[in-house]
Parts: sequence; C-alpha cells; structure tokens
Amino acid sequence: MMVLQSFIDGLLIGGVYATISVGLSLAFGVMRIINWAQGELLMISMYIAYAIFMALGVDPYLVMVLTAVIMFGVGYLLQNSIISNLLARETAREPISVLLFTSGLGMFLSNGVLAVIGANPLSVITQYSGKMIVIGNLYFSLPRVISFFIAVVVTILLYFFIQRSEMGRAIRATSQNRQVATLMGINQKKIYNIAFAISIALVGMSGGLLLPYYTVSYSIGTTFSFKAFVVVVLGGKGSILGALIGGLIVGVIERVGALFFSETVAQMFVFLIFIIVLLFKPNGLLGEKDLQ
Amino acid sequence: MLKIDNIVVNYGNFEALHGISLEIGDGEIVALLGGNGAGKTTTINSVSGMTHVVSGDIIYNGQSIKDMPSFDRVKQGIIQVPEGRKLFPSMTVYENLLVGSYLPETRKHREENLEMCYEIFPKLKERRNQLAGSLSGGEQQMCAISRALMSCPKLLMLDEPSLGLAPVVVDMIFDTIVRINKLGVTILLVEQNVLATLDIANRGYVIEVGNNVMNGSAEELLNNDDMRKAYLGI
Ligand SMILES: Nc1ncnc2c1ncn2[C@@H]1O[C@H](COP(=O)(O)OP(=O)(O)O)[C@@H](O)[C@H]1O
Ligand SMILES: [Mg+2]
Repeated sequence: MMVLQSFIDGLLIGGVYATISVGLSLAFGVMRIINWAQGELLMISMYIAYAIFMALGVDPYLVMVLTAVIMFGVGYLLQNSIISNLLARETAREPISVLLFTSGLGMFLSNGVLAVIGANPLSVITQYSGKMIVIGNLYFSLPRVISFFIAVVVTILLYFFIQRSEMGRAIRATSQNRQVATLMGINQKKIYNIAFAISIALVGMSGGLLLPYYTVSYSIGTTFSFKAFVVVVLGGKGSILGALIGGLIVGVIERVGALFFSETVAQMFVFLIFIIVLLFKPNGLLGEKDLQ
Repeated sequence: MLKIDNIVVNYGNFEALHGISLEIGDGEIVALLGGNGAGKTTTINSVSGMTHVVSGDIIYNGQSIKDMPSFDRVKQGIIQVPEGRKLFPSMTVYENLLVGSYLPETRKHREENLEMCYEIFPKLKERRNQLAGSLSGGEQQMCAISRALMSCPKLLMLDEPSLGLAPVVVDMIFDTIVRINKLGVTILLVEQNVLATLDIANRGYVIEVGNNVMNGSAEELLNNDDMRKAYLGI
C-alpha cells in the first residue's frame, strides 16, 4: 500500500516536472537551444504567482493563468530582443552563445532574488492547501491532484496544437529545416518568438501549479533545471509526449526511491537513469531528432 | 518580370558571385546552366533572399527586392524548389503540401491547389499519408514541386530537379515543368542536364565560377561551339 501511495504521489509531482520539461524540449526542438535558466524562470514564476496571490487574493488557479500569461510575455521579449540577436550572429546549428546567455541569466535571477527578496523561503496557504482526497487507505493532497490533471491536459493540448494547427505545422517545419521553412513564407523569428514564449509560459504555469504546495526560495532553480534536463533526455529531445512520460517516470522514481532509501539516494537514482539513458538510448524513449 | 543586375554575393570572405546578371520575361522558361560550384544555387538563393548580396540589385516587377525579407518574397509569388528536394522528412506528404500553403493568401486556394497537385501527380495522392522521408527520389521531387505549387508561384525557380533521377522520371518532371509554365507560371530552371533543359527552355544563361559567360536563345546555345565542347562533349 505504501508503495502504491508513493507511486501515485510520484505521478502527481511528475505532472509538473513534465510541463517544465515540455517547455525545455520545445525550445530545444525548434531553436536547438538549451535553456539553462528554465529552473530559475520557474523560481521567478513562483514569486510572481506569490505576489499576485498576495495582492489580489484570487483563486490560485486564476493566479496560475495570470502567471502563465506574464511569463509568455517574458519569454517573447527575451527571444525577440536578446536571443534572436545572439542567434543572428551565430551560424552553428546548436549555438553556444545562447547557452552561455541562459546560464548567466539563471545566475542573475537567483542572485537577484537573493539580493532583493532575501534567502527566506516563502509559502502560501490557499483554500486548497492541506485538503485531501481519501480513497481507501490512500491519501492525496488536493492541490497536487489538481496540478497533475492540469499539467497532463495542457501537455496533451500542446501536443495536438503542434501536430494539427497551422502554427504548429509551421513550428515543426522550422524545427526540421529552418531555411526551407523560410522558403515557404514562414517568418522564422516569429516562430522562434512564439515557441520560446510558449516554453516560458509553461514554466509560468508550472510555478502557479506548485504555489499551493511547494515552498519557494531563491535557490530552487538548479534542482528543477536539472530534473528538467533528465526528463528531456529520458523522453527524447524535442518530444512533447516523451517529456510527459519522462516527467512522470522521474516523479515516480523519486517518490518510490525515497520510500525505500532516502530523498538524497532517490535523487542519485534519477541521475543514474540519466547516465544510463545517455549511454544506451541517447535519443530517449520517444526520441527522434525533430520536434513532435 | 525579374531582373538580376550585376549582383556580387559573399559567403563570409569568399566571393561566390562576381557580378551575375540575368533577365526573365513574363511567361518564359529561362535556363540557368553551369557546372558544379558555378554559383547557380547562390544566384537563385539571392532571388529568394537567402544570401548576403553585397552589391548590384534584384528587380521584381519593377521593384527592388534586394532588402526584402525572404518570407515576404514568397508572398510576392517568388517560389523556389530547393536543390535536393529538401522536404520536411518527419511530416507526411500531405503535411508538406499544407506547409506549402502556410501563408493566409495561399491558404484560400488550398483545396483547388491540392486537387491540381494530385491530378498532376496521382502517385502523391496514393502516398499522401506516408512520411516524406520514405519516398523514392522521383516521388520526393514530385512532392517538392507540388509543395511549391501550393504556394501559388508566379516565378518558380527549380534547382536541379533532374539531379539523381532516372531518365524516364526526368522526362516526366520536365513535361510537368512545361505544363506548369502553360498555366502561366514563369520558370527559372537551374540545371546541369543541358540537352533536356534547352529542349524546353526559351532562353538560357551559362555561368562559370561566379561570372556570366554566355546567353542566348535555346537554339543559339545548342548550336554554339564552345557550349557543345564544354557541356555536351560534342
Ligand atoms: N554556404 C556556403 N558557404 C560557403 N561557400 C559556399 C556556400 N554555398 C556555396 N558556396 C560556394 O559558392 C560557390 C558557388 O556555389 P553554388 O552556388 O552552390 O554553386 P552551384 O549551385 O552552381 O553548384 C562554390 O564555390 C561553393 O563552394
Ligand atoms: Mg547548386
């Protein structure tokens, strides 16, 4: 029973890992950039969600929507004004300057928060905090259950958006061959702006999902960035459904591992999986080289 | 319709075109001939806006398009079928054609264009749900040409469409090019297959290492001695 409880707990937290990672995978699949600041942007999102919640006192899931919208704008501006200019100077397919920029941005954000807000962790009590769903002997925290369902539904919606919509097809075309996509009249910069904005909006949404049950501090970014990389490699770089499955797997390994060993050892398991996948299945579980 | 006026094009410090000029009238089929590395692809990529044009000008319907972003040139009907087909390999044939009509202006004509493509190339209709990466060379070329037709071309530039194809398939592709031309589409045909190309072209230009070396009607080029020695081995 304990194992089942931990397994489901793992799935629940894995949903949020998935949405953070889907964003990372999308940006990589389309733009071939690795956003090292994904975790720090999540941390910022949680502070923004916290501030909105404190200021407006509205339902945390409305806060989540607002945070996602704000972060969409942040992602759009970052790509439109900075990343696109770095990319324009680089001819390499997997540009190094953007890598340096995002890792610098990550450090800037965590140190900035430390300097301005301080090191004290923050958490909020919402109307959902502490509520439980009880099924037999199993107990599930309500905000985690909600966050799981929102995360899974949004990931699947994004998958269909990428597969079926006009914009989604243009995003995939750009991912497969950006020069030829341009020859079809597709404005590459606009596609990059939108893809990166969606990527960061997912981070904003994840921050909103975590707010009711997760304590935020300036230093949580690195942990989440690392987990997101593991998930993306596990699921297949550029694969949206892969990131969903990868996120759930990492969540389960953590929770079930923590049951038998400790949280720390469970993290080592996650790293072990990362190495094994890199060595034996470098394209990941659902991986292909193009965004899908 | 199109006038390329003495363009110089660089890749970094390397000057690939040293001043290429070329003119195409409405409704013509014009050939652009030359060996490997002559600068044919660079020339049409310059028309598509994919290169850095250092000097000279490109005039399309009386307007300079030299500084126009490449995706806007597509809106003007300047469409390219790139060398080596370059389909989107992880998409189906049908999806490749849909991407061809991505722009809202062309999306309006999607259904009729799709029908036209399937009528010209019935094979594509059979294969429409297959991944483009799994097609044979000839089928890929049909798909690449159809993808271009989905973009409502006014000027269609084809970069070595016969490359790597069996002679029967080449004949079929060239017949199709004539058919597309008869629909009112102006054609710039980049080729190394000189005989087949001059057979369907009105006029031709020959370039070598980034310079114009010859131009004239198809007949003049076919009867030119230098041309026969250099490209036809006669
Ligand atoms: N992307 C590029 N970077 C550097 N040099 C290039 C590039 N593309 C083509 N070139 C060079 O420019 C010249 C013309 O090439 P290209 O236009 O492809 O010739 P063609 O299409 O006639 O074979 C060649 O010397 C080629 O090596
Ligand atoms: Mg070429």
